[in-house]
Amino acid sequence: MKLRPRLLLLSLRLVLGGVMVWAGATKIFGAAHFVDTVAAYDILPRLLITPVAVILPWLELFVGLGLLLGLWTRSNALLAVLLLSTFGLALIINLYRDVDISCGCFGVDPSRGSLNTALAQDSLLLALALMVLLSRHTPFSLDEYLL
Amino acid sequence: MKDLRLRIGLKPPGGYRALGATQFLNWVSCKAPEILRQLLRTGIIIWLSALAGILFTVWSHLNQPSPSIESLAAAAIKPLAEKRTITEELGYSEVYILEGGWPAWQKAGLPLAVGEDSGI
Repeated sequence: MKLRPRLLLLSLRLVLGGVMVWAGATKIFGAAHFVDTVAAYDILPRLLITPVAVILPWLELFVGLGLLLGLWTRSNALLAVLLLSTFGLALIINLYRDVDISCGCFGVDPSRGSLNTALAQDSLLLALALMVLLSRHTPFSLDEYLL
Repeated sequence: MKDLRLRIGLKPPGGYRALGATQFLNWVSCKAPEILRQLLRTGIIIWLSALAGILFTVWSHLNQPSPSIESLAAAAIKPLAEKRTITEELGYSEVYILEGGWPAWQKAGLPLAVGEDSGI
């Protein structure tokens, strides 16, 4: 594979991984607020709100780290696709309901009414995740050296 | 445009029909471990995240800083609005009303009045 496509794939993976790590870390350090954010979406049953708020940020963090390092890249990209699709669906449902809630994509988000922007960001990241998932090669990754 | 399944390796080159039954089964048995491996890895990542999330939550609950005596006292007692009148009547410089009952007072670490003050 030529150098330019390899660099392009690497940059896509790094951007996606970086964003996922950032999103996960900000949620972990604002865990109390994130429970409120998940509840505000009013999609999950009450019983599932806390478990999801506890696990989701760590899942984002691990997926992001996996993508940054290039370890188990396709599995991490698959999880990223699933996560981003779920977020997108949740955003679309609340846009349809026309409710005024904070996106909470990067922890405590003071700007309200930005669900449209969040959906645009989510779609962009989903496209990146799909590209990483569907590409057969994972250049400059630990997968290349270890597996 | 190339078939997406072909591109990501989910379809054999030449299509499924180009393969005989035995070859097709061989191809599936070659691909199945790869798909199972990806699913297994996905499961491991989810379990690791759940474990990390639970451990972090327990750890952060255990390491919550204990509130200071002053903050507990501030939460437990409330200065009276008409303090001045009462302080004048009783002859004390500060008078507080206790909210939350005796346990809150005790939790705040405030001393128990003794002797002639105990009636106040």
